[in-house]
Amino acid sequence: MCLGIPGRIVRRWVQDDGAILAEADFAGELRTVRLNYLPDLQVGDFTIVHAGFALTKLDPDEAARTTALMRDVGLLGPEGDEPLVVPADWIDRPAP
Amino acid sequence: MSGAISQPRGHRLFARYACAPNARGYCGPPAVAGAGLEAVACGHGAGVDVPSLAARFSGAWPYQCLIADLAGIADPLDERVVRAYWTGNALTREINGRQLGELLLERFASQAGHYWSHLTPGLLDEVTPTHAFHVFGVYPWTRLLATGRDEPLHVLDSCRIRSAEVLEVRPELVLVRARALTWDGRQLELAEPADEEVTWRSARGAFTGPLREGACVALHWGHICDELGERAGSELDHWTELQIETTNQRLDPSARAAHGRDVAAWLR
Repeated sequence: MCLGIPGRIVRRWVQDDGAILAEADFAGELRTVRLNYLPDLQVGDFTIVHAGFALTKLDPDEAARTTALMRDVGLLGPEGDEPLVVPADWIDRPAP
Repeated sequence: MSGAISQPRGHRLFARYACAPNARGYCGPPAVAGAGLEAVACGHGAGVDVPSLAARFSGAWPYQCLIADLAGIADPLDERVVRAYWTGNALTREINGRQLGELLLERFASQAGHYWSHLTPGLLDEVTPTHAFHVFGVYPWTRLLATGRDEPLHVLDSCRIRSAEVLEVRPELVLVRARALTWDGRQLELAEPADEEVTWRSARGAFTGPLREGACVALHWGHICDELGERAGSELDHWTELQIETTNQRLDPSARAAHGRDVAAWLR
């Protein structure tokens, strides 16, 4: 997930300490976000998150436009693109 | 075999600075890909495609592309470009901040709507070609300081790159002396140096070589991500202080008069 990708809230709950959390779908990647600043966000709402906090609410059209624009500028892969995965054997491959 | 030369120096430098926020899920590609950055930061990951991963960082990548363009350097991951953006160097001084800001507006902000909603023409006076500007100027958090909540100051202080002096290397943590960001309700400032413990190693190793007492290091999200020489440390402090000063002029217009100079004009 990168800064600015709209996420769609798929689940929300309240912790024992009162913190309001949600799970949101960011272009196929699920992340937990905090709703301290936008506690009224509900399942199905779109939001932009920064440093783990939902800070902006978007309507569905804005969310779709923003996601499309981010794909246009290369910050997201094309829709339906395979996730960017680095094979484990690449990660640990030593220098030649 | 050492993996220290498994990637170009600029690629490893980028990984060192980008890794901590990526590991927290705040920016960049998904964690499964971000693990490759951690490997590169630790001197491994010979097969990791750093340019593809770097291009997913919505904050750093546009700046590095523009800095490279303005400097006539072909590779946005050239070590000079990466250093210029994250901590500042001689190249940073050559870049006109306002010009860079105008290009950001032209190429990125206008295209991406909410992506950088706070980057407007009104912010151009605040632009330095650094990560510090992105944190203090473009990120939303300075605008949330007035809420009185703890998170804005914490995020700003963690997300900026901080310089620190190593006091003691312990098995798991390192004791450093660094200046924390403070907010008095009107202005941001750096506090007097204070001691704190920070992380150094991750599961894959450390981003730096062995640390010695007195070394100047860079911190990102509470993790030692780089060892800075004296000059690089001074550059980081310079750009940080300059950015705070310019940002204060937005947060508290009386700061302009109090400092006796228009920093934005100086930057131009």
